[in-house]
Amino acid sequence: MSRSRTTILSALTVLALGVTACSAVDGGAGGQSASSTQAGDTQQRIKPGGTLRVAINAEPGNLDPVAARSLVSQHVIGAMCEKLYDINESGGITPQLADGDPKVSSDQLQMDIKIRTGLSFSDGTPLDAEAVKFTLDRNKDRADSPRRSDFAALDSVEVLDPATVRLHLKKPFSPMLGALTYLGGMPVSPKAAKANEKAFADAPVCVGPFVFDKRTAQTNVLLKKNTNYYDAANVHLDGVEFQVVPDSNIRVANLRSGNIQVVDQVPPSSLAELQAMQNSLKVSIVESFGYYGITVNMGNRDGVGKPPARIDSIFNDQRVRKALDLAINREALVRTIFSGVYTPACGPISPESTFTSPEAQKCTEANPAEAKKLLEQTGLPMPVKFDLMIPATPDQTTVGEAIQAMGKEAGFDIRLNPMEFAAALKEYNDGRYTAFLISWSGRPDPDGNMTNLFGTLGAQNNGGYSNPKFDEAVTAAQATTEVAVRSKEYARAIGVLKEDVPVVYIYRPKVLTGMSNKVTGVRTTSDGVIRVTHAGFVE
Amino acid sequence: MTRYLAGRLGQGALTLFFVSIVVFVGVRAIPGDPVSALAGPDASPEVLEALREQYGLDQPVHVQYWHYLKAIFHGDLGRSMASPTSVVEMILGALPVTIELALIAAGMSVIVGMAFGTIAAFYRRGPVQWSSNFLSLLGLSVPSFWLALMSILLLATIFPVFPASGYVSPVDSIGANLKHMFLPAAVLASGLAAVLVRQTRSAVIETLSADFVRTARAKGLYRRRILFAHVLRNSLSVIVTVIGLQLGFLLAGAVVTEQIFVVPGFGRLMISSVLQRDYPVIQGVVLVSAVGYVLINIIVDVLYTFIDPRVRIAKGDGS
Repeated sequence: MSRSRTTILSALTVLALGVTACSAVDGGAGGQSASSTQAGDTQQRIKPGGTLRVAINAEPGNLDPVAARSLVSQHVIGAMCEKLYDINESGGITPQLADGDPKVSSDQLQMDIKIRTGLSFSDGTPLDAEAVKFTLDRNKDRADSPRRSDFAALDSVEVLDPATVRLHLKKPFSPMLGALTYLGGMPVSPKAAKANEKAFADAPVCVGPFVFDKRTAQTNVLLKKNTNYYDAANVHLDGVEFQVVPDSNIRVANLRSGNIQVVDQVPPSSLAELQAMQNSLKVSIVESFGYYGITVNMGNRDGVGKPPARIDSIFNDQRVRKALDLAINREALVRTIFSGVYTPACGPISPESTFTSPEAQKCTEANPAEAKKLLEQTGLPMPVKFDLMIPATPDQTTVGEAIQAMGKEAGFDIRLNPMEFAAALKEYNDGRYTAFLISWSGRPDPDGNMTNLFGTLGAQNNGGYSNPKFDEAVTAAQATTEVAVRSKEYARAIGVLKEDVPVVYIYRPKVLTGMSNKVTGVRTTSDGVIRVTHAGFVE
Repeated sequence: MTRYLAGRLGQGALTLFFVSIVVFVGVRAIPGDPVSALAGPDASPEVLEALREQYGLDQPVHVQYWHYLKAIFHGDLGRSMASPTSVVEMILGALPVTIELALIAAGMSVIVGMAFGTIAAFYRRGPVQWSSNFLSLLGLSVPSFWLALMSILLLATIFPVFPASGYVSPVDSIGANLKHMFLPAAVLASGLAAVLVRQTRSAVIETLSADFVRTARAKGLYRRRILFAHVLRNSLSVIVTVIGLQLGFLLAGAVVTEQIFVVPGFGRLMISSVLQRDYPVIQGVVLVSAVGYVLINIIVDVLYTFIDPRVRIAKGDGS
């Protein structure tokens, strides 16, 4: 087989976190993006030991990487399980348990991944190609695996030698590497997983700095140091306690009181207050892959996953969708509601992404007069009425009210329909909605933010959108590993989206993580996951 | 007596049977799909389907109920959908926490309520009475969630005397356990303490004007002895009745307090299970609550038959 080393990882940077036991480390630089404002970036010495308390916003649920479903579970699992590839500080992809970049065949149907040798799982069994094959097969085949769609293009996994696997793909599919930076790319011990699947849901056995200790449902998960970890000498903490604290104000109060050292999802309204306490606290601000937007129902008649069908909706008229897009003043919205911490979202790709382009970030300027003109052209009775379903949370209610006010100026009469999230999600999946203000957590590979969501047969095409031009562009992007070509194809696909407006992008949140100055080495990246491998208490 | 007891137990079992049906159907009537809630917005339809099958939610409701009923008779309330734990384990972990919280709160409110109520009864004019009235009014009218947030701000953030939230088991450390329990228990106690101040004050005032107190005074007994040996003792029946009546409210109030202070009790379990549409946990929590109420009612009814023979006769068991 002729094989060429491709440019797939041209954006890769090698993870170089030079932390050593009780040595001087970069106290706060970890997890910083260019826009980061984390304080305390000084050389600090770490004292070994201690248990780090991290407040997370929800029960982490199932901790088996194959079945985990939430971002919050990734904080806990990430402390126990490393991945074949990881996301680095600049949002790029870097090898973690893989030994270097994958080698992709010239027909792009085979991907060879070398695995680092001499590493073992926390139960002492070796990390090898068989274990990686077992993991990938498990993700691909298990019925309840949320990763199945990520691995839909994976045909089979072949063990070439104890340290190499070959991924056979059904079609050229460059986003495969992105899937390996997520939960699906975390090798698990075949021995432990086969022995007891139920126990594995609490205590996954992986290669990672910490292992499961104990758990109280709805309260906390305690992890302890993994003595079998290959870099155990540079793990300073004895353990990590993830405490479930759903209320963001209580999380912040705990951080301020010193009861908890790291706090997930700091609300933007608390940012100024915490930044003023720079002598004792710091806040890491990292760009997120995710966004909030209004999905309009154009063809979800029979439920998500079914082919789009014609429905009777005002949003079947492109002018109405364009008018809604023109009605929103994104700059004003993020400035007034989120104190300018969050940024306007103009498309599915983060401005930090390797695959971004000026076309991808082109924003619709607010123009209520133009919007009104478009609405008048439709012949619909003015003002044009529609229901906007919003999650019944304080933040989203405020955003909904702002959209309502902006819409009024443009000739819309928007009735807000606040719903408890689980109930709203059901309506969204079943197609019983007109428009829904919803977030997308985002994926490092742009394909994860586009094909599934807007492809005609996309598994999460909740809006029932369909345009062959879009399908063609994303399929072309999947078929190449050239970053420049992919960027161009995504720009083309985004151009189609901008013309059709199946979603009105509103704003892009940021990953805000609060930390005590007593700790250092905690990292956060654009995927939102808090990394505690090299964290420690300062002397 | 045996027939009466058997009858009451039968009624109790029937009540529980109906409760189980109402809860089972009721949770399924709540808007929202447990599988969507569990899998989140990123889940594909295939995953939702697989999960529905895994939890048996793809079967007709009566079939699901039949499986549920069979499992109950084996002492199995099912497994949580949100946490990889059995419902029985979750309830057994949460109940003692709430009971501890309620007991500490009851203790606090009795001490504060009786002390302030008695003082207010003795000094019926002037600043003591005003401040007692003001405090009890405050305790009754301030919502517990606001008081909880203010106490966190003041005593955990500005003056970090107590932890802002969390829980430590008394098995691990009694000191840390009490420190974590102080703020939630104090907030929970505030309402009951306010009621007790008022009730104690009126009960003590009433007793103070009784003839036997006047006689005791005339005999030259010390004021302290009159208070503790006669007045408080005679006022206790009213106070105990109030505490008994308010205990149910205390447990209900624990739902809010536990949520804010992140105390892993029964109330918090109830709220989180409803929010996550965790059907097995909601069903378990409601069923256990119903069992508690039914058992207490049966015990009270049986005790009545011992205390008041007329009840026994009225039930046709005069032998």
